Amino acid sequence: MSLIFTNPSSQPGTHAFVVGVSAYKYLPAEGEPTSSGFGIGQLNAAARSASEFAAWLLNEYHNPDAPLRSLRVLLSPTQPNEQIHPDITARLVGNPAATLENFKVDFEEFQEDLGVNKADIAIVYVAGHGVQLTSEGAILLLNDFGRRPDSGLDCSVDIYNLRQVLRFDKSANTQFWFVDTCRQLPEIAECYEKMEGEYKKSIPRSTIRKNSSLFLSCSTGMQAYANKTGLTFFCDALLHGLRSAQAADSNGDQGSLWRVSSPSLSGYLDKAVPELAREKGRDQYVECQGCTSPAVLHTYKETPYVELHIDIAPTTDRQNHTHFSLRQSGKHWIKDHSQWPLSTKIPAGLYSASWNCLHSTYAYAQEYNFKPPIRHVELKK
Amino acid sequence: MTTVDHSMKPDGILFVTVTSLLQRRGKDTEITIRDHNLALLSCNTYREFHLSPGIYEVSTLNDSGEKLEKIVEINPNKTTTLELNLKSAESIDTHLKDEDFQAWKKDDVFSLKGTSLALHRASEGLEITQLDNQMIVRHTGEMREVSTITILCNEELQKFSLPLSNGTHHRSVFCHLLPADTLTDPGKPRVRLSQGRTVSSAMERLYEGNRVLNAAKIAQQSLKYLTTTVEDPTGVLIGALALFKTDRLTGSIEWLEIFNEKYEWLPDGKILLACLISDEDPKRSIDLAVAASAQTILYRDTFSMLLNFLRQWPDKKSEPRNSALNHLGGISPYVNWKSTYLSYTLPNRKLWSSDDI
Repeated sequence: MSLIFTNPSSQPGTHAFVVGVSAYKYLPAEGEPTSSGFGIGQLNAAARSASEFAAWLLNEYHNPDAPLRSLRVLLSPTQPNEQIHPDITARLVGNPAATLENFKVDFEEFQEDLGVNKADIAIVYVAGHGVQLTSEGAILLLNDFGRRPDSGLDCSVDIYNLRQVLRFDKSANTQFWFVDTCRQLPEIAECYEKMEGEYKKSIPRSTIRKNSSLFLSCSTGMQAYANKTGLTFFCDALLHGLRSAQAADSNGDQGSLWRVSSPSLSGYLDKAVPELAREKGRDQYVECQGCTSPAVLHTYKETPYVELHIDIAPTTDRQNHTHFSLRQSGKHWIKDHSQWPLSTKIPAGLYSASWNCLHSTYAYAQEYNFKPPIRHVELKK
Repeated sequence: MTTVDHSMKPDGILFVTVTSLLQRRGKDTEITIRDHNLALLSCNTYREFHLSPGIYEVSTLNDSGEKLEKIVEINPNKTTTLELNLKSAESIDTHLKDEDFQAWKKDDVFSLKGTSLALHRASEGLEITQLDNQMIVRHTGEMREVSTITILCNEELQKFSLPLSNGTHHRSVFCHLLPADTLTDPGKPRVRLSQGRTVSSAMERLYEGNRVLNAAKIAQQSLKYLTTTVEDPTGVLIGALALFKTDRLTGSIEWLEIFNEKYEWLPDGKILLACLISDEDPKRSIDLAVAASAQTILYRDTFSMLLNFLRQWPDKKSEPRNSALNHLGGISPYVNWKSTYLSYTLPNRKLWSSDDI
C-alpha cells in the first residue's frame, strides 16, 4: 500500500505524492547491451532520492497552515544496492512499485483527497527516466515502461498534463511539483518526442488560477547524476536548501518569519543545482515555472543559524586585531574577542561589528548581513 | 513618507534617492526595508522612512534586474541619506558606427574568448561586428521573418533566433551573441538584447533571473510605449510573455491583436493570443497556432507553449495540428532549453548544406 501516512482532519493540510523509479523491468540491466531501442538502462539514485524527500516530508516538513495529512509513495529501487530511507521502508507494505497501474490508482486517490479543501497544499515529487518535451513539463517513464516493444511511450505519465489537470480542477489552490528526470539524448528523444505519455487525463476548462509551482530538473545526459550520498543532484540540493534554510526568505510574519516560498526556492535551486553539477563536471539546470506567487512550502520554527567563520587577512596580522565585538540590536553575541580564527553559530540577521587594530587609534566598525547557512568573513586593516 | 516602527527612542529618518532609467526614472521603483532580524518592514515607492534607531537593510532591483542591498544605521533625531544609483553600465555597442559593421559572409570566423564561432548561414540583411568578446549583430532593411544566424561552434551547428527588428528604437536592430564562458551559467553561446534597448533589456534580465513579476510590472507600463512611441517589437514581447505568465495579459488582448496585425512576421504574439482565446474561440486559436508553427519563432517559451498547445489539442486527428506537431517535434529534442531565445543544434550533418537551414 502506498499510503504510508494519513492524518484525517477537516482542517487544511498537505497531501503529497512521491514517486521514484530507478529499476526498469523491461530495460537492460547494468552492463547488458541496450536492445530496447531506447538506449536507456537502469538508474541508481531516483528511488533513493524520492524516499529521502518522502522522509523529509514525514519527519521535518513544517507548515502550520497546512500540516501533512497524507503521503503516498511509489518506489522502484534498483536491487540490491539502492538504499531506501529506513523510515519509508518501515511503512511500505504490499507492492509499492512505481508501475502504471499503481500510479493510476494512487493519483486518482491523491486527486480525490485534494478535492476536499481549497486551502490544502499538494506536493508532487517524481524522479526517474524522462523526456523533456518543453520548458513546462516532462514525461516520466515508469517501472514497466517498454513492456510492449514499439509501442512508444507505453507505461509513462505526462507530467505536464497532470499538472494542468490539477491546476484547473477543484483541488488545492497551492501546488508544488518537483520533477527530477534525466533528459534523454536528442537522437533517442527524437524517437518519441511527438508522442504523449500513456497516462493523461482530460484537462478541465476553467478560469481558476492557482499557485502551481514547477521545479523541473533537467540533465542533458542519459543518467540522473548521483552524488556520493546516493542522491540525485537535484534532490541533494533541494534537501540541503530546505534543511539549511539557504532556500528560505524572511518574508513571513513574526510568528514564522523564515520560510521557503516559491520565489525563494526557485532563486535557490536555479543556482544550487547547476553549481553542484558543475563541481562534478556535469551540466544540469532547473527550470522553474509558475513561481511568481509567494506560496509557502515550509516554515521554520525559529530563526535559522549561520555558521560564522571569522579570520584576519593576512593571517600574519592576527595578533594586531583585538577586542572584536558583534552586536545585534543592543545584544552582544561576541564581546572583546582576540583569538583568531573564530568559529561560532549565530541567528541570521543584521549585525554591527567593531574591533581594535594596533595600527590605528580608531576602532574599526562594519555592518554585516548574515544569511544561512555559512558565512566567511575576513577582517582587514 | 512612511513610519514603519515606533519605540520609546526618538526616531531617525532615512531618506532614499533613486537614479534609474526605468519605472518613470525611478519614481515607481520599490524600496524594501528590513530590520535587524531581516523581517520585512516595508516594500513600497516611498522615499522617506521614520525608523527606530538601529541598523536596517535597504534593497531594490537595479536596472539590470540584480538585487542591490545596503545596510544603513539610523540614529535618533538624525536624517540618513542613501543614494541608490540603479543605472546599468553603458552598453558596449553605444559608440558603434555604421562602418564598423560588415555584411555576414559564410565561413567568417569570430574568436570570442578562445571559442571559435564560424558563420554558416544567416538571414538576409544581417551585419556583424565583434567587440569585447561579443559578436554584435544588427539588421538592415525590412523584416520579413525573425532573423536567424547559424554558427559552427564546438563541431556543432547551432541555429539562433535573434531579437532584431526594424523598429524606430535606435538599438532595436542590435543584439549580442555571447560566448559560453562570459556567462555566469556556462553552456552553449547565448543571445542577449543590446543593453541600449534599456526597457526591453531590463525585462529580459528580470525574466531570465526568475523575477517574472518584476518584468511584468515594467511591461504593464511599457507595452504601448514600445510599440508606438519607440518601436521595439521583438523586445516588448518578453514583457508580454511575463504578463502572460503572471496572468496579466488578458487585459491586453486588444493590444495583442494590433501587435499581431502590425508585426505579421513575428509569430510569438500569435502563440500568446492562441493560448489566451482557446476557450472562447477554439477555431481561431488553432488556426493561429498552426500559422505560427510555419514561421520562425523567436522565444523559447513561446515555442514551448506552442508545442504544449498542440500536444494538448483535443482533436488528435486534425491534420494541420498533426503536421505542425511533427514539424516542431523534430526541433524540440535539440532545443537549448537554457536559452531565452529559441536556439537549437542542427541534428544531421547531412542537412548542413540544406537550404532549409
